[in-house]
Amino acid sequence: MAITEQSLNWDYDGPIMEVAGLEKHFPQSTGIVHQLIGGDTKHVKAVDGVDMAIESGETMGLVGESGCGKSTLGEVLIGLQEPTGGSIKFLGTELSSMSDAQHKEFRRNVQMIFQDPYESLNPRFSVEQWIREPLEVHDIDNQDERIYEALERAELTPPENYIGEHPHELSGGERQRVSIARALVLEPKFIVADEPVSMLDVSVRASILNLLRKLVDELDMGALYISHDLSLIRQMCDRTSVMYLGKVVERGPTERLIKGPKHPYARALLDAVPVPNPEHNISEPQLEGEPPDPVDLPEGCNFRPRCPFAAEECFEEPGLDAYETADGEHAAACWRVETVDEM
Amino acid sequence: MTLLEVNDLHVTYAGDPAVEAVRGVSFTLEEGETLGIVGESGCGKTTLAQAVMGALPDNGEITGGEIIFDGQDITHLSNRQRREIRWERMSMISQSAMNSLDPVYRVKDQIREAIQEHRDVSDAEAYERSRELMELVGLDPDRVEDYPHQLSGGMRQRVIIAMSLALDPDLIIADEPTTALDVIIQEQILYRIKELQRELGNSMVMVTHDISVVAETCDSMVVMYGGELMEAGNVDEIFNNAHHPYTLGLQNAFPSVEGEKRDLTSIPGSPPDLSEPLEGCPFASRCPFAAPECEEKVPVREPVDGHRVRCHEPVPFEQIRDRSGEDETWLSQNKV
Repeated sequence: MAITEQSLNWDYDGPIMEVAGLEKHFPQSTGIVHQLIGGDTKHVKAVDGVDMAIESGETMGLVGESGCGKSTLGEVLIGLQEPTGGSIKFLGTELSSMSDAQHKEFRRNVQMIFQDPYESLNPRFSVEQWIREPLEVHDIDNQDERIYEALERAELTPPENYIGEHPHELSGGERQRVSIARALVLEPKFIVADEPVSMLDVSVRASILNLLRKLVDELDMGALYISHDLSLIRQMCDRTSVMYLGKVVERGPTERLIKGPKHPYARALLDAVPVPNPEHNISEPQLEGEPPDPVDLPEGCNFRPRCPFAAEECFEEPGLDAYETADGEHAAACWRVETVDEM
Repeated sequence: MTLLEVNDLHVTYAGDPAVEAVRGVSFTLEEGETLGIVGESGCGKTTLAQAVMGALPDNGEITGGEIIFDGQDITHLSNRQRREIRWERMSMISQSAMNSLDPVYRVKDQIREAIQEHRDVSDAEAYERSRELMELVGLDPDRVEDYPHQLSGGMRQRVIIAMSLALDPDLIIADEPTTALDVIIQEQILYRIKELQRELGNSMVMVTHDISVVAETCDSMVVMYGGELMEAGNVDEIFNNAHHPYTLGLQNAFPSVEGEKRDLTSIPGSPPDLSEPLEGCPFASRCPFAAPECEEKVPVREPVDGHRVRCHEPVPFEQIRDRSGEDETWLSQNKV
């Protein structure tokens, strides 16, 4: 059996994770009468044509309101949900055409860190059982050694002090570290972290963010960091994508995006983040209401109905290339960036 | 004029062991003002708010101190007397309120019931008032016909705010009113709360873990830790001239989209066990500046008029301020 055919291409030097035209549409549940008379099934377009490439050692931020599709995108990337269209390439190999062996390798190499360490830990499991489980699932040897290593990486030291503990005996920060140790024990090459610090106390958030950053760097992983809060994204991410109704509407290096957002939605998201500075009083929100259900999407730009700057041209749908800086690093799906910049 | 005065308040939860969640907190709230109570989980901020509201859980009891509301001592009122004040004169928007709407009643019926419990008004008048209130919080008045599940989380939270305003109270206590919501909805709701306060002139207590929310919405603030007041004063003063290592630790741990990016510090360790009595500073075991004297009773000092700090200041506070911005300071704790 030729290993080269079985195994993923570990010499691949392109992006570790690359998606193109990615879609995840859910059929909307309609009434039985509607189905009997053969009415059209409508679809919720949670992810609707996303292009994204993430390099090893890079953390991509993904920011947007609840319901913008960011968590669904994260789940599709690591194979928790199947896409309904488009392409996902891991190490250059198309996910849908992987052999069973390659697919197993893929599953071992992509992991997720969840928002709520309280809910993600089985209360009856000890830390050891919790971290051992994925090793059992993937039938991996040297388990004890790997468990110790994972705990040390997650800075739960010395590991002996933690290995027999149960979730209720740990603080919130320690629990999130256990989730991180569990995600890392398989030595993955790509992780998705979905709001990993939003349930934690402010005084421990920084230590978890710093730990994640360090691990992405040291283990040369690719990472997608999902949050609704640009102030947290700023601490973590090299580049950031802004998502609205299933589409990426702006992408750029994080600092550039924070100092000069281009899409009106990104401007509003940034403006909405409260600032720990009393000179700032809460200002009138730039956006009213909430995003519509991604079912009957408006013609042209998705954001048009909520956009304070919408104009005639916005009835034509802008792609991410509608605005692009000369170096190609910063792009926004908006026809009116220059006009709005001048306002 | 002072609307609310809390003096040396203690609250204890019965049980084995009993937990003293609030340990001698004092503050005042002027009419029309917003006071932020800020701290992390388990610091006693929600208990403090519930004690003021007269809404402590059954095993919770005020075990010391007093609460004076509009000149009246309400510390030990009977349940019935408390009920008269509650909602009429002070109301509460709580953390989980948006999930506390009754799923089987339309919004209009829930608002009507809240009004008619205290006021002798007809159904028609209550209905009109419910539509008015919806408009006040920025919702389409026709949505009073909806059931809670037809509303988004942000809309449900607006309904709760509408209900808290139903009887035009003098004081609104908001306990983490936007914690479960994303930043866009949070901004909309906080902005609406502040607008209404300007229009209606009510006072407010805002309980939150988020110092940026305090910075943007409050006039004065109390920083709590381990059931005790650590630092209190005018918001501008506390943000620009914080003395307490815990306040400074929180400020340096907090990310911002403003200004240049900076590294955040964290505070290793965990909060004290509130079932144990504690003589000294509750923060001492996590404080990098702690000295032996911190195990003794800590006096409250007032470095500037109206700015209170509960700290022995084992090293001069200028040094505390400079060093608390560096992560190494917090990692190399010289614990007591």
